[in-house]
Amino acid sequence: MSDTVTVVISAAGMGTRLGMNVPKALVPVGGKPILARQLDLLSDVDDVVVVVGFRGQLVIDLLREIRSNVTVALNHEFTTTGTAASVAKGAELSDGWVVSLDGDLLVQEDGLRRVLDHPRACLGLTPARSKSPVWAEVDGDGMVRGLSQERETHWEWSGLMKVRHEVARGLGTGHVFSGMNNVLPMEYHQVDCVEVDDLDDLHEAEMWAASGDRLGERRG
Amino acid sequence: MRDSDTAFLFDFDGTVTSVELLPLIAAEVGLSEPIAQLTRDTIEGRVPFDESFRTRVALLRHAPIAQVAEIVAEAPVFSDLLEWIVAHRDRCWIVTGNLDCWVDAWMQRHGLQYFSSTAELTQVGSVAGVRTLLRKETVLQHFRGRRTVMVGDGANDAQLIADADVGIGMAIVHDVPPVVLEVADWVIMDEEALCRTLSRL
Repeated sequence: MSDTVTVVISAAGMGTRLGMNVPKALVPVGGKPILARQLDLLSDVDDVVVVVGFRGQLVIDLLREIRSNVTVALNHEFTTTGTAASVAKGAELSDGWVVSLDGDLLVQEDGLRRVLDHPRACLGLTPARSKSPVWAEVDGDGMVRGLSQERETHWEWSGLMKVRHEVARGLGTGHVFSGMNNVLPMEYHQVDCVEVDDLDDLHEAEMWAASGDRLGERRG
Repeated sequence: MRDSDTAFLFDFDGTVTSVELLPLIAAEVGLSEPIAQLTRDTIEGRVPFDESFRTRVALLRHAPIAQVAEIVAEAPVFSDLLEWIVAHRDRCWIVTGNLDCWVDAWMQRHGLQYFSSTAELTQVGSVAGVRTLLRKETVLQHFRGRRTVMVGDGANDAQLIADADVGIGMAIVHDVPPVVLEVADWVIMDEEALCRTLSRL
């Protein structure tokens, strides 16, 4: 079983709720695109795949400028498929672990590192607070038992996960969490993060960046 | 994932060589400006590719074949990629619109199989015109039942990139044209990343 790690960043969607007419990964937070912030944290990962669709050339332009050795995967069905299709596409050439995150996720380095370094499959959870969370049901043994948009819990899933490549390719074409329910239970790590879905999130992300990326302290 | 029967197809100009060959040849015979103008008109869609290619060949037909072959021999290449192709030569083919008489010596030197346009030659061995013009997408008929991978950087590679099982847009020197971005599965901007990807296919 190969232990190689491929990081897949999904940046194909249109980000209509934010409504900035560019992929959300390109939206600057504290003057720096979210994707550039993510790649800063991934400088020691050799194999990074960025999945593009909507206005893909703009993402490629940024990548050429900041890190040209990432592989760009194209999801041409970005208007009709969910993130699961992008994850599958990005994981197509992986033969080991796939660490997947959305291109609109500002994540703190410690949490990302814990997921990357975890020896088994795991999810990145954060205390529930977003407007449309995917709630995570966690049992007494510290395992995630279910992911849902209906059953409210104290935890939400950040979209960050580490899974085998076969799992990453078999999540369907809709929401990633639906496909993930088939491969639970799974361990988790707490990650501090902000997912930028709308302008309120962007405002929060700006504050996060201004506070030196210390999410926990600002909240505490 | 990996399949030992996979056929790897590569565009030549700007994909294996790191520069386009026609402008190099044109410069050598003092026809840079008309060729450059024609190339711009073709890229921007004012002149159809076939017509443009025939006109470019007509302009360059007085260039001695040996001199052109020499220019091709010295053209800079992506050396890691070429090394990969040579190491896997049984499963690799170059697909080029260039004339056979211009590229054959290069292909022989590296022991590579290729598809190209062919030249009509005069009795004294210079180029009289284009005998057959390669339509790149037609080469897939030689690989029925096999998995195919196509790597290219230009608009004239787009159909083959679309039709192959895996289409790779090569964007190391310049961006891929929009038509390639519309149909490719992967876009790669770095030679090492390209070789790594090819090894996984």
